Amino acid sequence: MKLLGYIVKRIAWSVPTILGTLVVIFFLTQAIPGDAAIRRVGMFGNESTIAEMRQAMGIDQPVHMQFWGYLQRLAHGDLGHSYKTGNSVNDDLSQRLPASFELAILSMLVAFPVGVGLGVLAAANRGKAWDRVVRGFGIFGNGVAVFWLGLMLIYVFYFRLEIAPAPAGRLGILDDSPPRVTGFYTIDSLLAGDLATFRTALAHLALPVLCLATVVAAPISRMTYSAVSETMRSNFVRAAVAQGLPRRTVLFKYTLKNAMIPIVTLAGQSMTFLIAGAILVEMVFSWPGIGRYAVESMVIADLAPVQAFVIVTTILALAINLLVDISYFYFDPRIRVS
Amino acid sequence: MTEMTALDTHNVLLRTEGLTKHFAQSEGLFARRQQVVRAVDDVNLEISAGETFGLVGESGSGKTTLGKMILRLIEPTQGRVWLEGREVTALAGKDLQAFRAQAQMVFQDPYSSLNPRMKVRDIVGEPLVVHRGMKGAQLDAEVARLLELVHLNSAQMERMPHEFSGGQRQRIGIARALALQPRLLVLDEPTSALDVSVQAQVVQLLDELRRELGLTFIFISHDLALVSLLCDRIGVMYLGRLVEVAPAAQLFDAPSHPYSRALLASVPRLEPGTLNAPAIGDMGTSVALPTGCRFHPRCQHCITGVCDRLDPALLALDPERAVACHLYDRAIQEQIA
Repeated sequence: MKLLGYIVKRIAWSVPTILGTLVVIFFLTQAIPGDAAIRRVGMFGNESTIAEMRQAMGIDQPVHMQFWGYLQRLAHGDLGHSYKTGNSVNDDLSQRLPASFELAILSMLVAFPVGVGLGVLAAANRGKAWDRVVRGFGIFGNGVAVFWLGLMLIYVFYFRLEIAPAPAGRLGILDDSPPRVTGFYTIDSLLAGDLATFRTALAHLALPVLCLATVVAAPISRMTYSAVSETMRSNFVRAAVAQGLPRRTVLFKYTLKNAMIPIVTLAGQSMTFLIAGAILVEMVFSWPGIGRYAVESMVIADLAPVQAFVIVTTILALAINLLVDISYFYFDPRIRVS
Repeated sequence: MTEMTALDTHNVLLRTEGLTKHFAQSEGLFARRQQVVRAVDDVNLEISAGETFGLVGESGSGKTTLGKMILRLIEPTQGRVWLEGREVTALAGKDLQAFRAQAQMVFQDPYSSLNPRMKVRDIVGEPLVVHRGMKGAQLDAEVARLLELVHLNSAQMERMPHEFSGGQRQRIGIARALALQPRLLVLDEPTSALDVSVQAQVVQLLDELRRELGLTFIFISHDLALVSLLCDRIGVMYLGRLVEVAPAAQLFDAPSHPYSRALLASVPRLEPGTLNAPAIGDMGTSVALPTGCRFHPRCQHCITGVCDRLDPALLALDPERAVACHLYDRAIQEQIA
């Protein structure tokens, strides 16, 4: 079980990375000027209230003691409290992470096949019309500002054509969310047999997914195009043609599979972006995801959610990288042997 | 191998007629102007069944392009190819795929010509799966037979290409080419990427296979010694043109075309007192071709007013030899005299 040993080793190696992140994020947030207790009590709190608050927050202690306490709480899975929402960060995240995941996963499910498909199509029709169309799409998707694209989509599909729902989040303002199982409204509504809510959830996903998928599919299509074109010129692909293998076999089994590694690597990076970096899209579509949560907490120096955001996204990025590396085992059997 | 095979017109396996390939080369940012690279120009060739035909020439002379056009790996700009009386250049779709079984190629670089992501069994077996619908034990048995045919251990079929040496990889490439029992094998410098000691083994193997399986070879090479050893007839290419075709022994004893002579003189000899012929400059490129005979700027026998104006055709010197040179054209020689 070479793969299993590899996975265990990789997970072990990610521990120092996470610890390092914890140190950096803790001390960076410490370095933010101002007194957290005063921010919490308000400008007009008297001395004793502020002192009490300091004690309650634990910030009267020396920094290393605070860090130790922080680590202990983390070890128990306690990410702290948000004073803005009044909830524990764990509760807030359990609401927002599924929203981010649902948006990100759906966007990737659209972007990956579209990006790879367009790239292969262009590479197989070099110099012809498809090549130019895909190149145009690549330049557009790489160059366009994602919030502008979001606003344009809202303007056209909601405001002008009136076929998209208002950009008010995951459901309409008056709609009830389906009973929670996975936190994905599309899946939960189907599990509850509630087709109306399923349709509403899907309709609300449509524009943000279109927006994110465009931005992510464009670089994937470019990467696919160049990786596939390069592989097509290699001799073993010529040999496959010479043997009279069907065009489809040559294109997918020989060419695409060999070109796949840079493509999945890019897709992995895009996935991290989709989960953690889709803040602008979440803003434009009032999407209650973790990116917006982090930004809204940041501007009012609500530090626990910010720390939690950094930790969670670090772990996610590590997990996605691990998945990408595991996929190498599938796409390149040489890694398996050596 | 050393006996000469005269061209037997009743036994022609491969025929090309006016085979030409021009590549368009875009120039400048907006690709308005296009230059034409005449990689192969008007090649007429007949190769008999069972023959080993050598194609020699400097790099850039178009020999590989010609070989690939014969196999329809590159589409000719003009001209036609027949294999066993069937016009290869007219085939399309399923028929073209079926034709691929009859003519195969062994590539120059054994490192890049095997799919690095596949086991040897799949590399050699894929054509059998696709064309013959083989699978399971039957497929394994056939792959094992092919590997043993090229002197590889059939137990190695579970391995990946990178676990083999260059010579072994080239054997895998040969086994793959033989899988569909082709009539014609185009060998594109099959040994030039290998160590000298391994080269001999591979050449021996090829010769053995040719005799055992009754194959016809087109052997592309710039290694003149190797070609003289292995081939029945040889075609000399220069800047996309076939300038001389002759039986191997005759070409080496008495080359006709001034270029053939220069080419042979460039082979280093070990006898004392022999000097190599002086270098005769660069071949130039197939983009800016000289007018008249393509060789005339480098030719020591260039006849001003003739060679720089008229493009010589490939004319038969005797039943076995043909040369494209005004020096051998009686009509022109008489006019000059």
